[in-house]
Amino acid sequence: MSESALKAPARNEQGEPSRSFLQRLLQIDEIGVIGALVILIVLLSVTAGDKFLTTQNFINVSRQASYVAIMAVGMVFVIAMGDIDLSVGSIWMLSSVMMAIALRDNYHILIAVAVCMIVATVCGLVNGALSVALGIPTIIVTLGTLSLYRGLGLVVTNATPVSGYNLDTWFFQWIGGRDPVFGVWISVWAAIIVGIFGWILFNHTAFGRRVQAIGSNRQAALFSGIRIARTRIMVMTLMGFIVGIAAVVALAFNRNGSPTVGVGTELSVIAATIIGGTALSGGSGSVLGAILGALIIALIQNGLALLAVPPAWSTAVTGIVIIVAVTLDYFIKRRA
Amino acid sequence: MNRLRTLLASAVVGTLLAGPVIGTMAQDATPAADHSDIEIAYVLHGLNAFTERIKTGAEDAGRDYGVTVEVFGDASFDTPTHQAFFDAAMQRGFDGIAVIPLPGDQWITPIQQATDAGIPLVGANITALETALTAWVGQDEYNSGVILGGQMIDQLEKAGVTEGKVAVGICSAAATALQDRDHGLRKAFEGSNYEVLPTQEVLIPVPDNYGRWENVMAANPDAVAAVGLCSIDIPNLAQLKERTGGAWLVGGYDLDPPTLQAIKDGWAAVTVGQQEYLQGYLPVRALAEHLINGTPMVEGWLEGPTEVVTIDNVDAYVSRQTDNQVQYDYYQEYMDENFADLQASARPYDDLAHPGMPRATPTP
Repeated sequence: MSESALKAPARNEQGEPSRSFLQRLLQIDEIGVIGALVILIVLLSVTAGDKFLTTQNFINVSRQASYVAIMAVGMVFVIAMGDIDLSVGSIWMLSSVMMAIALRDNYHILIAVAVCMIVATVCGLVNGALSVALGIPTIIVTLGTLSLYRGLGLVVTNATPVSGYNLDTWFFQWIGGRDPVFGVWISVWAAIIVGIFGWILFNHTAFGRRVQAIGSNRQAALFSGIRIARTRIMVMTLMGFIVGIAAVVALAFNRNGSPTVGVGTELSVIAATIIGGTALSGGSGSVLGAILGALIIALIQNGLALLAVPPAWSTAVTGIVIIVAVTLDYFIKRRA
Repeated sequence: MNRLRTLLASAVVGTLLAGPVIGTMAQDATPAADHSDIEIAYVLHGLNAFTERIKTGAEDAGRDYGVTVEVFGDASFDTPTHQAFFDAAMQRGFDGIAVIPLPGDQWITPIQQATDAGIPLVGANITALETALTAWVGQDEYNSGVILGGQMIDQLEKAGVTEGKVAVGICSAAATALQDRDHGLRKAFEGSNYEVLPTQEVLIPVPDNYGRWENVMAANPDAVAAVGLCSIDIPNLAQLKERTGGAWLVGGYDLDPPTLQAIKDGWAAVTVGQQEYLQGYLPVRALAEHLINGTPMVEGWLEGPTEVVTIDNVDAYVSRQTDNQVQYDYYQEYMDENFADLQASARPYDDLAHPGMPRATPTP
């Protein structure tokens, strides 16, 4: 037997097997989505460089991604728990039009914001409570509340946009504006702050661990004393609350309460979450990945517009790129 | 003498007694006699601010003719959903149905079934030339694009811009009515020094629409104009222009209050309107007159001329579009002048099959 065969593997100071830089890189949970993002940026830089690689374009894209990114943070908890919420777009619409109505009726801005947050949170609570009370998956419940919440929004607005309030206020000028230092839209900062809190909650609290445990193995979670029903209600309520945050910053920017807001948004939010590495089967998730997933979706749309891809192709191309991004994430993780 | 006094007194008393009776009869003429047993369904293609005005027109007509009108619509703009409403209207035995068939080629069977069942129909807003419809209310979509294009050229020339790129956005690439607008717009620019860029899909939901326009204008920083083919475009383009300080002119469709405000504030240059109130009122009126009087159903195209709104005349439209009573009063006078006799006012239905035909549509 040769000496080299008997030679022990190299170890670091802690006594652990040494890993190369590449191996360490592949161990990062979000490496798949980061890889997809890098490849997308490189591709767009090459094909649409002069229009893509501008500060203004990145500022635009970050804002376009921010609303989905905020909601995707909440969706991480829902999907990691093994559920899905299809009503997020409708909650967004209902809470934002209610806020707009409050503004139109001359309520103080803070009261209007509170109305938005309360409506959104209650919608989430109802989703969770119905799911627990009826003993049916949230995907089924939210299939119904998707129509219920949107319908309520249409009733209160008579299917017409709500406007006619003073736009020269700190809310629309500042919350709906850009920060004076970096020139980034406030909604992007909101996404970052929600992301930070979401990351801490998901990865460093008992609540986050319970969510993942339920999604990983419901029976085991039950036997270990985790109160599944209560956790489910809390997660769905949290989802509603986070949608409320997105609704507030979106209204500040868009300036009118439109009943068309949020149509199809749930698919973008779920796609962003899945692209970001949250397992559809539940048990694990990544808040950072979800935010990056939202950015990928926004970059795809941005690239298609900059490259003037014909409308008939853009929907198909969006789907293809998402599939490629998810596949890339899968293979990179498998290799890791 | 006594006989004469008696006669005079009787005449006075008789007149006094007859007065209220005559007055009551006059009042019966407005509002209309009760024909509430006649039920008319109006199946929209969706629910939004635009269709709300169609609905208002339909309900006003119902009230004026004393018939019962029920309006159906769903915010999804989903065809199967609205076909289901149409089927339900037939099932429920409505005496007449007005319908916005989006898209026209998917309504062949439902409309044929209603026709075979003897239910009088009127179409509006979206043409369905392959179906059995023989009456339709709406604007010439192609010509509206030509008018809008002409107005944009005028506005650009007034601004001293004689060449450059024009960005065009369509909120739903598959909608043939919007495609007709697009074709008309490009026709207007033919032979000019302006380059009309390939149309980009900009979607319907407001945040998505804004984001798409943001990307389109970022891709074309040297564009001299942006034209939206849907009602949601001008308000978003106006906001985008305000935020970015863009110098490009904005044009588009429909007279929603935020659009009129954008014109008033100078952020948008021109919008064209299709008088959607008439698309609600005239179909119901046509059906009501047929069902009440037993006269032949109107056939042909009741054309709502395209309206043009710029900074010069926007004030006249603001109150009409925001006050239902003002709108009602305006259109009562308008219909008296232009649609006193529906059949006489109707153009041949076949005219709809020939886009690009020279039109008699007056340009305000």
